[in-house]
Amino acid sequence: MPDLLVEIGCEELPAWACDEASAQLPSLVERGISAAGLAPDETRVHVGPRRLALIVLGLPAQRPAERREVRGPRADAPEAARAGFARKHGVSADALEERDGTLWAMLEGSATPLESLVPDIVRGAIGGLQFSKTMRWDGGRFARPIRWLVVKIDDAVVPMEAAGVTSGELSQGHRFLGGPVRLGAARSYLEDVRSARVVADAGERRELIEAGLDSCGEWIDPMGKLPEVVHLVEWPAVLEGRFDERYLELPPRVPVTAMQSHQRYFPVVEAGRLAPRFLFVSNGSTDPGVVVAGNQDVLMGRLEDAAFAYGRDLDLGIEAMSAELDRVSFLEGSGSLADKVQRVAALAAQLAERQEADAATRAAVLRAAQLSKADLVSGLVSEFADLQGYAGSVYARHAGEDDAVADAIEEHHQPVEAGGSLPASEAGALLAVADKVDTIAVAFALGAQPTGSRDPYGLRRAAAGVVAITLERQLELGLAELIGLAVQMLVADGRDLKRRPLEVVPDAVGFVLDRVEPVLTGEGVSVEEIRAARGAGHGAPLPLAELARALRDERGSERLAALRDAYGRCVRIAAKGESEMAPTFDSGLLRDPAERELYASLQATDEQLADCVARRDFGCALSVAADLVPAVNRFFDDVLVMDPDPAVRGNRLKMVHNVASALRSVGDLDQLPG
Amino acid sequence: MQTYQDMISALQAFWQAEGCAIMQPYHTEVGAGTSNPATFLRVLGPRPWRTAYVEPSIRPDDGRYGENPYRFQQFFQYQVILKPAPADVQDVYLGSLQAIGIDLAEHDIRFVEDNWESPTLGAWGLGWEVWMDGMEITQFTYFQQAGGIEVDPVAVEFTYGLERLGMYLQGVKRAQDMIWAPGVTWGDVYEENERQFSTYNYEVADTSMLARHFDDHEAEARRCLEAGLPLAAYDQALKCSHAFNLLDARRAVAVTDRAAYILRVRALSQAVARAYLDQQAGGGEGDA
Repeated sequence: MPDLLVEIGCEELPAWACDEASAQLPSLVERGISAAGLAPDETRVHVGPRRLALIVLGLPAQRPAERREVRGPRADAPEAARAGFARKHGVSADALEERDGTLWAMLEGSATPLESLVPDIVRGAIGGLQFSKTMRWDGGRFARPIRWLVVKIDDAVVPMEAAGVTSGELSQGHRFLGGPVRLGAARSYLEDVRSARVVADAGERRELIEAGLDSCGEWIDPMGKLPEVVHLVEWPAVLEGRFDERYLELPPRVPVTAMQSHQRYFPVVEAGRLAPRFLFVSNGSTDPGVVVAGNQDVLMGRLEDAAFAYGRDLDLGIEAMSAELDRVSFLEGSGSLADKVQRVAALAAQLAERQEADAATRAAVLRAAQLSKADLVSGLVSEFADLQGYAGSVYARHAGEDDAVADAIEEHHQPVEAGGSLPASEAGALLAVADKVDTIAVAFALGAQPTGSRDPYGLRRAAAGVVAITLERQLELGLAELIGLAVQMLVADGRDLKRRPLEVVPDAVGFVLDRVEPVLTGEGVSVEEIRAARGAGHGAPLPLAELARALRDERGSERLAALRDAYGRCVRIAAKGESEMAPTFDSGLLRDPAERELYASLQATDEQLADCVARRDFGCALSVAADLVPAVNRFFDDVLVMDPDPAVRGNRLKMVHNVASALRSVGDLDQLPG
Repeated sequence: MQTYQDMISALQAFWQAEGCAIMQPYHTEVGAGTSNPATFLRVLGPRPWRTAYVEPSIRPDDGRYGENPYRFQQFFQYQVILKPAPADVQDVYLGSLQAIGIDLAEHDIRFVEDNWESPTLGAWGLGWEVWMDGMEITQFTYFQQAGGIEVDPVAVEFTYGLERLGMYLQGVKRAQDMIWAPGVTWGDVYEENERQFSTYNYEVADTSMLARHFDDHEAEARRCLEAGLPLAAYDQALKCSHAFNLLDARRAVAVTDRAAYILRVRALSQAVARAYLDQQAGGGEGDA
């Protein structure tokens, strides 16, 4: 059985493009192959910075002939039409078959050789890749230019063109150590390119790199650079460099960041402490000594910059940095970072009050808020942006601030990524929420909210952070009030809002609540239960999450089914009679015992419900709401809502509406499946 | 020992042999060689264009009074434009490294993703920073847009940082110690320059004059555009840009005005680019 080899030769693809290709290519190739009517034994994809390789083993040599029937003209069509149809399909007019008055051509077809099916498969793979960022060059559009193409079935080249290049069997090996290399058949691909100093398989490169690193000692990768490094080399060689011990006197994250950010070096730990050594992955060289010396110089320059900036920052002090913030702009149109600090402090104060935080925590939050952005003008952060927060905490401690203040400054950027660690201290958590809510509120007020996939201010991440922290810490969040406060302060500062505050607040609240959904889905809450819980209108992540969980726990119970039906009836009747509904309810108009009973039950339930909801005990709320069901059912059985007297009718509609509103505090249950 | 000027001569000779027109630095302050009209305007439109030149990069806010080993308010870039970009463009570029004495197999040379954008020029491109033994030596960019206009055919730009490259090749830790010519160091030529200009940029420059100049040059650029003189208008736009950079170094740009200044320069760059292209399309096709 023939094997297919395709190698798409590229100028250096970014690591993310390699990852995207490696995720998409297998299914693109499989789709292309099955669209061609073929079924291989095995498909493999190898991805690296200069080549995307597809290997398909055990393909049939041809697609077998396929019998087809083609519908023609009616049997009583003119002679010329019948003859023309037969000619077009290469059969004689006598051979046409008649069925129900229509002529059909029976075509035996012919087998299609594999080599004429392959070009579409290759073009489908190249054209089907969806990179998150592409560029133009004279050959087309891709993550980076395509420069060569190898397409072979066993030992034979399949001639074709794609992306401005013509297929052949000549590949390029390692850029400097390999040179051009003629590729054999698919099964020898990895060995063929290896002979030209290329490890084509990303998994193998990763293993080689890890083994090389392991052999040099205990290495760390706190910034997660290894996956990227795997796609920065084709012929990995782990090398080791050293730096002057005096840089170890810097706060430990400083040298670690100097090594890891941009340079992608791996720090070494000895006996729990950073060692004056670093490991890095070169792409091979004839003189590793030269490469090590060069990298040592680069790192020394970076460490020297860091040490210089650190010293200058210490001399300046965090207070002086804070005073500079009025010169740094925050989100365009919202003023400076100094303005942001004032808003964050106000939000944090409101939040701390709501949490009834103790005096020490309140004091720490407020102090930390004032200092939280100071490090953005520090020399260290301008050299190494990843140190924001950490640098501030170091400088705060140096200035004699309490640990609680320093910790809150460091923690307020957390979580740095989805699933990342959350602030460990209460002050840090409150400050983190205040900071993120402010950013969201400001962006929405200035019309800079995310659209489609564009989220330049990272608002989705900020909202997910607010959700993660509030759920973990069970924070009482007056989200609408907090957002309202930030917007109000913008207005008071004379900022030119792009949208009306009345639109901004519910939009921004909804945006944050959207981020609760993935958390709940992960806990087994269904989409319908989330939608029902959203319908209750609780404007903060915590009550939304707890109600959704209560609905999940109640799933399938008879009580819930009865509640949903009763609620549904109320909603539908109230909606139908909306135009006739009395503006206010008048208990003096009640006549029937069943309606009096419903009224009395509603009054009793209303208060209990409010109490359960206030305690966020939605199990309790559901059972209180369920208690109302018999009275609702009796009412609908005994009483005709649409009474001939318009006053009575309007009043009953109003009561039904009130019942629906009360029940909605346990969710818009109509959203649940029947 | 290859002096700094030897290295520059070798690059000039190499790119001349590659068919580049060797231009000279522009007469008006620019932050990067890209702003020289030999790049910014010539990459527009359909005509092929190959050029190479040294450009002093003037960045008032990067001055360190000559005390920092690799940060200066004026340093040198070597700028190359190949339009259209040839299919073997990476190999051609690597040849230029060999021309200045770099053994490609001995070093670890890598193309690491880096994308470039200039807000004041309305320009962006995709490419790499070229690393040699972990050090960034060249910005390598496929121009996708300039002046808000698609660059078609795509042009490639190389920007070499000459100080870094020279320091590495000479094995010195401070640019000031680099041998410029026999008996002359980089520091002999520019150390005092750095001190004086840092002082001027940060402490002395008259900010109300600069703000006025910005407005005047902007108005003059508009007048030039109306008179059908995009080249003259572009010089005025560059002067706006430099006035803004000085104001920024003097910390005289209020936060709320910063974005507006940048937008004003970009609006000029884009208007110049459109006018330049219109003239090319209208009058110059015959000699393309």
